[in-house]
Amino acid sequence: MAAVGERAPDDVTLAQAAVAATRAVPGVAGISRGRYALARTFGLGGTVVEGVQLTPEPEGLHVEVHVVARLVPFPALAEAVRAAVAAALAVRGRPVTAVDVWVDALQGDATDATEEERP
Amino acid sequence: MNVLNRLLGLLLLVALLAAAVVTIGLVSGALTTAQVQQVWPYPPVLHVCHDVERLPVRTRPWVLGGAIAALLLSLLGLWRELTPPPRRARLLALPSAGPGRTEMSYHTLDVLAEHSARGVAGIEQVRARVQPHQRALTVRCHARVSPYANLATAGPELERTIADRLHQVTGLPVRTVRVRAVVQEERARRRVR
Repeated sequence: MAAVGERAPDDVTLAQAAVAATRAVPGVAGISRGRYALARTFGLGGTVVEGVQLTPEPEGLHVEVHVVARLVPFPALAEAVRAAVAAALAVRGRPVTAVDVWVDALQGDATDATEEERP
Repeated sequence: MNVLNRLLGLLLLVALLAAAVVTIGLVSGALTTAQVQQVWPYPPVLHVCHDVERLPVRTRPWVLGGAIAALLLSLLGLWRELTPPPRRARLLALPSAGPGRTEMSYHTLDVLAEHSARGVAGIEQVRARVQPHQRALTVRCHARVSPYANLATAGPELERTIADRLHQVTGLPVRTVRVRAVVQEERARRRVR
């Protein structure tokens, strides 16, 4: 938990942490914006983090992460992403109740790779 | 062309349905030629109706049975033609141990199957469609095979490669891989720019 007097991290900081943790997982080639619905986290001043959506719940955060994966076993990849995201957000004082992992594309799928590179 | 064929098929079925209903009506006495004339005053049709109305008693059950069979067949055909085929779900839920779901689109699985198939020697072009079937996957695959490839080995190898890759990546069993292989013409069309 955040210390007394210390500001709790905002959603954008948490989403950026989740993105960084996800990218660090072996087998994740990148972050996708979402195939059928855009996953975004909005912050103040028009800041947007794409590919991660945070939903506050009474027990903690429900996180949705959209990834572009390499050709690795997806169930194991998803478990690794879950563990990494939960650890990254727990360090920032926000417990995670669930992490939904969406494999939106594979590395090598040109269309999705192009979309991912957009700011 | 496909739309035109379907429209023609629908018209044929509707005509068969109408003919069956009128025949049943005429044979059973619920309809008369005069009533048919009010709806469609076309001499050949009226001539046929007149003949049907005056069928010998011995023949009537056969004609009635045939008309009922035609009615049922046309209704079945119309129902099959007009009801949309079941749509494939967009997302596949993968088995997950932790809190949270793991999902991927079937489109991604199609791409994965096609990507794996392109690694098989002799396969020049491939389209695949992955579908769920009782906690397992089934794949329908349409491949163009090189005329110089051995079709007897390329087909089974393609099936095995797709099944292995999908199982390895998703963790789900692959029940069937149905491959429809077409040999690529030797003189393929060339596009000059």
